[in-house]
Amino acid sequence: MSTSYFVPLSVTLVIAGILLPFWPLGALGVLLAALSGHPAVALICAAVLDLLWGVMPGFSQYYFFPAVLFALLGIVVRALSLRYVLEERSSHL
Amino acid sequence: MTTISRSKWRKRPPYRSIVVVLLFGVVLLSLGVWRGTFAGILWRVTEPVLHSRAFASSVIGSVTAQFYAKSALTRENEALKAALASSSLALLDRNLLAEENKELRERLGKAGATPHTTLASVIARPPASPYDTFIIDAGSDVGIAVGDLVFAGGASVIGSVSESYASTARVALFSSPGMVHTGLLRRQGGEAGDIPLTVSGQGGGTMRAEVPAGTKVSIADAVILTVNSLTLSGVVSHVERTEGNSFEVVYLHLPVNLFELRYVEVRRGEPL
Repeated sequence: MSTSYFVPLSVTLVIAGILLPFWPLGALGVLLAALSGHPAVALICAAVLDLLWGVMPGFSQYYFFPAVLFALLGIVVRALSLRYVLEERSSHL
Repeated sequence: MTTISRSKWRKRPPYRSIVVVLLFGVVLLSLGVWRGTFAGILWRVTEPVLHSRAFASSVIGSVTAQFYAKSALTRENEALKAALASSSLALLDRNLLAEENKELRERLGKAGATPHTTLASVIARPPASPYDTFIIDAGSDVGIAVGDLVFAGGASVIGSVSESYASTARVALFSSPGMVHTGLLRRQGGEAGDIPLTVSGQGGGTMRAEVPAGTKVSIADAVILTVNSLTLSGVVSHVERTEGNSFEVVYLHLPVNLFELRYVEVRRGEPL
């Protein structure tokens, strides 16, 4: 199944998150790109959002790139899920 | 059916992945080192778009306002008149106090120590910006630096500049998670003695502090920031008392509605 149409959808969500007064749309775009198997798109969008949004004050400032970390989390979740699904399928065959 | 065995996965050389990860690390490191420059460029591009958005929303707001029912407008007008009357009395009291304060400062030889103030408009506020921060349209071009205090409505201090770019700056509100400031709790009704307390941000315009159990704290008590001049930084909205606990938790909110902020004042040379 092709997931290429998730790329424009993710980018649109990220742009909407910047331009519309609702930042979670941007985070949703990053998550969608990461979970649909487009890690490069997710990481680039996350880096742009991190530059625009900055970091939280206090101890959380040492995350430096929170949106990139969020994208990496999405990528890892997808990789682990795929691994689990493949293992389940191979055990059934 | 063909399946990929585990041994084949292991045999695949991971050079490509290593190169991609290294490249990504280098890019991220560069972004970290020159973060201010890259963010400044991005904000220079984004700022006019956000200004246009603000203009468009004000135009749309003025158009839709014409469709309000006349009776609703009359009721709102009456309520606003009542609020204005009570505010005028409070303002009269405030003016007298301000005059008294000025006179006392002159006697103490502290007059003229007022820092330089810059008026800036808010171009992105929560929920357009995360972490209880907002973006203003004045930056290092006009001398705004990290740590400058940001005021809304005269004596209400709401946060400080956390990042300054060429034409824009990011303001971290005192209610931002991880933001901690010290203040004095000033009680209503002439209760003697201010209580020093440490206020930490909780997000969404709210803050939290702890005072010793038995302290007389009531809703609408004010928190004054400990700087040269008296500045309001929070208002008590709830007090949580637990039996047997040696502390009471005081919940506060910012003195202004941050979701409706349009303009703020940045006072240079008065850092936190």
